[in-house]
Amino acid sequence: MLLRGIVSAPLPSTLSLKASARPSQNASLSFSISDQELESRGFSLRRSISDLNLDHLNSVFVAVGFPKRDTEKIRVALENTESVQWVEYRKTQRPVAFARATGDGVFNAIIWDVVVDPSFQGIGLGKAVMERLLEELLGKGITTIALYSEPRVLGFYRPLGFVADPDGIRGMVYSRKRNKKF
Amino acid sequence: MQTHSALLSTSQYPIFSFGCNCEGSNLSLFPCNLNFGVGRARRNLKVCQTRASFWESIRSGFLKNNTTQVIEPPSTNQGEEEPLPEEFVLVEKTLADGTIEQIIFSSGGDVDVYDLQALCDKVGWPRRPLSKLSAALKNSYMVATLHSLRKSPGEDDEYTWRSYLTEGNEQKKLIGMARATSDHAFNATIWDVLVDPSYQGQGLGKALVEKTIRALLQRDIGNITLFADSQVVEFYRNLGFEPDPEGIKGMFWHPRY
Repeated sequence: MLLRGIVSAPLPSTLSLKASARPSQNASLSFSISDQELESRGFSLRRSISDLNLDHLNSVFVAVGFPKRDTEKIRVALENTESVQWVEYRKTQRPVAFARATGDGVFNAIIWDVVVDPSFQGIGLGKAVMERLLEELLGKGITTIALYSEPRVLGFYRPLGFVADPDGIRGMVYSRKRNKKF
Repeated sequence: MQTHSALLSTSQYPIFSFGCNCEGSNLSLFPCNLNFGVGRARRNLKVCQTRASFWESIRSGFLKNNTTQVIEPPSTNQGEEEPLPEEFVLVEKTLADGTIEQIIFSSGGDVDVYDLQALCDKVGWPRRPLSKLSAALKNSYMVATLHSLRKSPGEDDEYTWRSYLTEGNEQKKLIGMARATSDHAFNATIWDVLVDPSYQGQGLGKALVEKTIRALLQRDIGNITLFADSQVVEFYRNLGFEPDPEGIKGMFWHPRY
């Protein structure tokens, strides 16, 4: 999961998730920015992919530096994704923030494709989608929530409660270059 | 995470102890001694001519005075492009009493959840509710298994270890599993790799993961990931995985240590 170019400058908030205490699963997490506040600024929080224009989403991916991916493949990926959170900018009706999580629905989840349109970074939208995605996963009783973070944005995930290499566990990726057979 | 201590206290074998804390780590593996632990009978193993590299590492797991037939799925030299059959015999050996034992790999995902729970108990994992295990399997993109199939030479077998009888004189037992979750398009993550302690040290875990990777690649999943306990990072490195590529770090939300 790659998050490029995000500069996190969260707005002051009295209701932030504390990294130190693990909230109980049944407690509803307080969000840094409430739904109403986001709505009042012209942003809508969305969970369903039915109204999500995948070409617009793809352009956000490209804008943050992802390689361009086939829209139909993105559709397949989203149809097989357990949870999705995105923010629509009502004025343009385009997605400006996005995050999704795959998994087995009971034990494990991995968060992918966390992006914020560069023109909308720094105002808390990335945090907004992440917090709500986490709430949804925790609500299902999923206790193992993981992701892969570029080194530059470790500081974005830490205040949300993420720890890198806990207990020496390493994230690993299969590399075809290393294995000439495949 | 509870991983290491749970394995150290329950493992009776000074060999690979596959197992992982389902809270988040993927695999724990200790340096192996060759110790089959399957009966005292001397087995005759014969190493067949096979492909180099990967199969060398499998063969080296067998004692030299034994005979084992290492069976490749039907393939030509461009084996990698051949579609991997869903089920095939990985290894076949003849035991001293004439019983033939086959280790069968399957990516079909046909797992009895009770068998799986028994296997998880054997490697020392904490118990998980059966209904959740069942749901997790159902929601996994791929479930790969290893079964041991023993065929007695003609006699009725009254063995009652966790197995079910097939065709009267056959016994099939779940001895390994790996599963992967995926979005069916871009990414897959391998979880829960485990091998029955009685069958560890033979390269079966390696084969299990290697075949799972191959099956995923054949389904065109470009990004295959996992999270590895520190002791098994080398194991996965040898299978082609790289830790922290380009400095990208695995992170967990409020991990329970």
